[in-house]
Amino acid sequence: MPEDSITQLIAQWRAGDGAALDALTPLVYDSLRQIASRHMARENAWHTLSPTAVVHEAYLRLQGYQAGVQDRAHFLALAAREMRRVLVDYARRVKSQKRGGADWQRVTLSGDGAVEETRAVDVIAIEEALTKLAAIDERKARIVDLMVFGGLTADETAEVLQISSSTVNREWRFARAFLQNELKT
Amino acid sequence: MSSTRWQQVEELFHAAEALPAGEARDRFLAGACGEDQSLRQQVDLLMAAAQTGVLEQAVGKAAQNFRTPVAQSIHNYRIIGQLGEGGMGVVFEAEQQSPRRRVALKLIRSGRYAGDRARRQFEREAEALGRLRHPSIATIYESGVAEDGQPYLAMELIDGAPLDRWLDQQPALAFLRKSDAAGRLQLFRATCEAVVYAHQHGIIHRDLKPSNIFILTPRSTSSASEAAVKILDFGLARFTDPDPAAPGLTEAGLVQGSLPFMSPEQARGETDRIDTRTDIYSLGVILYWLLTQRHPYMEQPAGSIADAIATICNAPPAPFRLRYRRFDADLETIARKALEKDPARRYQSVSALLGDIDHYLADLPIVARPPSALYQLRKLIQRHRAGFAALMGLLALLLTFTIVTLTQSGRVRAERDRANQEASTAKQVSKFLVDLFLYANPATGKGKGELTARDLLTSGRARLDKDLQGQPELRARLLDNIGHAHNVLGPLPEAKRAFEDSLAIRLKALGPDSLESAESWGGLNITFHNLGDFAKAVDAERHAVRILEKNHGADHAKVAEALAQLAVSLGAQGSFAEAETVIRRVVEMDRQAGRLDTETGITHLQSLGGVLRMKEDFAAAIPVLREAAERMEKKAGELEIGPSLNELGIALNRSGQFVEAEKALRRTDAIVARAYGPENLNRASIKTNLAYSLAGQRRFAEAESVAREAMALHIKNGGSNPRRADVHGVLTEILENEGRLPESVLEMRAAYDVAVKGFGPTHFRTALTGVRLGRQLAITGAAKEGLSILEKNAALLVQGGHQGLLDGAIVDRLRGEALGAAGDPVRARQALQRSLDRLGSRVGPNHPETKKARAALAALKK
Repeated sequence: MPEDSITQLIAQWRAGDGAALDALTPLVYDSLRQIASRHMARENAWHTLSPTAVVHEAYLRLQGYQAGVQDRAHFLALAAREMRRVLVDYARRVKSQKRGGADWQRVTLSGDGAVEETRAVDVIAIEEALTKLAAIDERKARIVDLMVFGGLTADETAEVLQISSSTVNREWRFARAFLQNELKT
Repeated sequence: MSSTRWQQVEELFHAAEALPAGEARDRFLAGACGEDQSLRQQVDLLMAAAQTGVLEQAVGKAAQNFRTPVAQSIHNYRIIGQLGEGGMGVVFEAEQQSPRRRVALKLIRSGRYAGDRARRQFEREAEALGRLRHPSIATIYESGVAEDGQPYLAMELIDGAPLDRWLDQQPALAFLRKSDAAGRLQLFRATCEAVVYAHQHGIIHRDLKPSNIFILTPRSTSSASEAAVKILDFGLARFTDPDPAAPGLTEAGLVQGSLPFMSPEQARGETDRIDTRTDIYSLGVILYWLLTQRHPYMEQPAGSIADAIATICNAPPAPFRLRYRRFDADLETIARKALEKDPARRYQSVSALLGDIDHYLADLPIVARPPSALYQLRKLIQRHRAGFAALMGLLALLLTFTIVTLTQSGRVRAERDRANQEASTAKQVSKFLVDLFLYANPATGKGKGELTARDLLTSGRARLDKDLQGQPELRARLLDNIGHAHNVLGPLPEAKRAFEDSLAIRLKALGPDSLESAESWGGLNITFHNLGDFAKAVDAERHAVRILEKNHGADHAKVAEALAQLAVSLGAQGSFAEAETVIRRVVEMDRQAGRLDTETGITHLQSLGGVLRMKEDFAAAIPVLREAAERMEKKAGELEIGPSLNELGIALNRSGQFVEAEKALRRTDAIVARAYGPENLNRASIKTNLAYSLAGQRRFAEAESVAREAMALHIKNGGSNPRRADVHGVLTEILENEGRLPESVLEMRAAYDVAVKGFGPTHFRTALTGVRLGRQLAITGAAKEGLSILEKNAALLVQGGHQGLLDGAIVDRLRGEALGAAGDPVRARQALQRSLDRLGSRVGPNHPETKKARAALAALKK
């Protein structure tokens, strides 16, 4: 993706040009869509399902950041965090619904079937483990955000965080082990 | 965890992961942690956790399960809750402010950020729905773009459940008869009617699937006129009329829709081939699934999208019999016709599909027919094109099945007139054949529902014995078919059994002179000929000739054909004089009847050439065979001249004209490869002959590689054909000439073993091979054993009357060489002289066999 134009669009967006985010959408769209689709790659192809919903939703939320976005790196970091939040919020809502909570969401009639609670809980567990990680080691939590939820490569993550790629790789391996150990229990 | 502890764990983790798992790592950690067991435990836990993929899996699932959250309100609609979600859009239940009513509100998922493509597609759905006013199609109220740029579409709110969920709640059917299926068929009818209406209004749905078809909740006040189903989601709809705005929505190569219900042309992304028949395919999947509660391809293929697409494009629908022990075959026929891979073979309109459903419900004959035997056969041949001599057998089958199929088309008419005796017999033939082709593949079959020709024959024979005991004539007719197939596919004893059974049935039912018995005799002739039992082959064909003459008169074309067969068998038996008399009579019959220049006439000319070749009258045989090949090419095209050319190649080889033989054989090989595929077994025989031509030119390296190719073809075709012995034979000769004697003995032994297994130990071809084996053993040091084997087999040849002129002379030469090696120069000289005398008078001094005998004699004198 052409970096200059992205940075420029972000600047315009910051300056109050709402249309700039619309223009950003197709530019960043593909790379963000990979996040969802990459995670789904191993799923059964018979049930093709658009991974774009998560991306779109994250975009909707990004609108609120207009003034605060500094540059491309920051934008990607925000996007990654919003991707995570979109998933976690959704999982929480499903969970509360299963407990008989919020009653406004009616039964899902689409053929894709209802969400299983166990699956919904997983991402909440990640969120909890990630909070725990952030309390001990803030940078590692950000690495996870960018790489897992932001779909960034180690090099891109390194660029956003202004550290070396080898540090990203090293810390990522440890953070991942930490989270997976937490999720196990 | 304290931050120092954290750092400690992290450092150990990285140090340990750099070491190979196992002892080295254990030793390191034991040293580093010392007494601190909890430190060691923490590091171990993290090392183990690093090996899983839980994190990515959990995120992946979460991303997949995500559903767009609900906004509060849009335009003048207050959102109440989500109803459903598709690829592009999300559907909410909403309340419209004015007029105040509940609606289904469809929004583009990406809202105001939707790209042009999504917007255009959304607009099209609105336009399509706007054109359609039908009780079974959801009504559109309003469409537009909200203040914030979000496109929306308000539709009638439907009180009901999607068809897939509805079906899940239905009890599974035990049988599939009309009474079982009627309710489901009514729902399907209603769906079809709505699709007919849409098609009439120029709209193809392109995304028909159970989740887009709603079964309405019956109301207490329901009137009979109320619709039972509603079709939703025209999001992928396409207009059939010229539509300049369409490009961009119908990009070639773009796969849109739901894979399990997608037609092959859609799955392949062939957007320009999508028409109303695409919807017919999807309706076929829905019908199949309604009737069986399963998807036509049964297992949902795990794996890549490419695999799924391959399944859609290639897999045949699973037969209903896998699901039901009893079902109405017409229902399966209807579903299968809608599910044809090729749109041209489907119902050509939804009305036609509806028509068949109605016919079925009214107990009338349906228009769709199960795939004809001929069609099934063609598919089978296509699958076998790349391999097997099976093709030849299938062609034989094809000939006889054509007759059956003709009766079958007569059947349709007869049935409409409500039955007569003929028709019911024919119906059973056709049912038998169709069952055979559709279901012959046994559970033990190899892999993916591929029918092999052998499967077909085995199961055909079993069904015959079981199902058709009460119908002798029918049984005999089908036994003939099976016999003919076995004649080419083997095993030959099965062919013999089939023809003998059919003959016994016919002799008993129709007496000794029926034309039907002549058919059985003709089949037996071919079988015995292939088995090498020429005496019996001659006998069988004499019966056939007698019966045909009695029924048709002596000049009839069928009599000529039978006589030609007889001549070939006579020639093979060694009765050359009679063989030549008979075949010349046939040619004369053809001339008088004006048949000389027909394909049959030319085939008889080829037989004449063959008889002359067997008689070793090469000077006469070669021009006849050349003429046959030339005339056949003019008459029927190059692909038909393979047999004549091969026969010509053999004649040229035997007369020592190796260069000419090579030319003819190379051309034959190319023709056969083109006509029957590169793995056809006939190519093995041709290449064997070609290796012989090359060896005759002393191009041994080339000859060996061609012979090895012939061997590879035999192996590819199962390796059991006895002609493989010829390959080993020619290899023996090549190896001996290259001085590789130990290998040559091995090859000759292999030749003999194959011949014993294939022809039997006393067959003349086995005996000829045995003579060669004996000689090979004798010249490589095993003189005594070799001579004994040689003489034993030479005696067999004399006994069987098979010591033809050339072969007899060759046996004498081989005997002479063996005796020479065994240290008996006197008898060796006698044998070699005898050989030379016979060869000299027969094929002249320059024939390669004459030269070999002369060289052997010269070597002995030294």
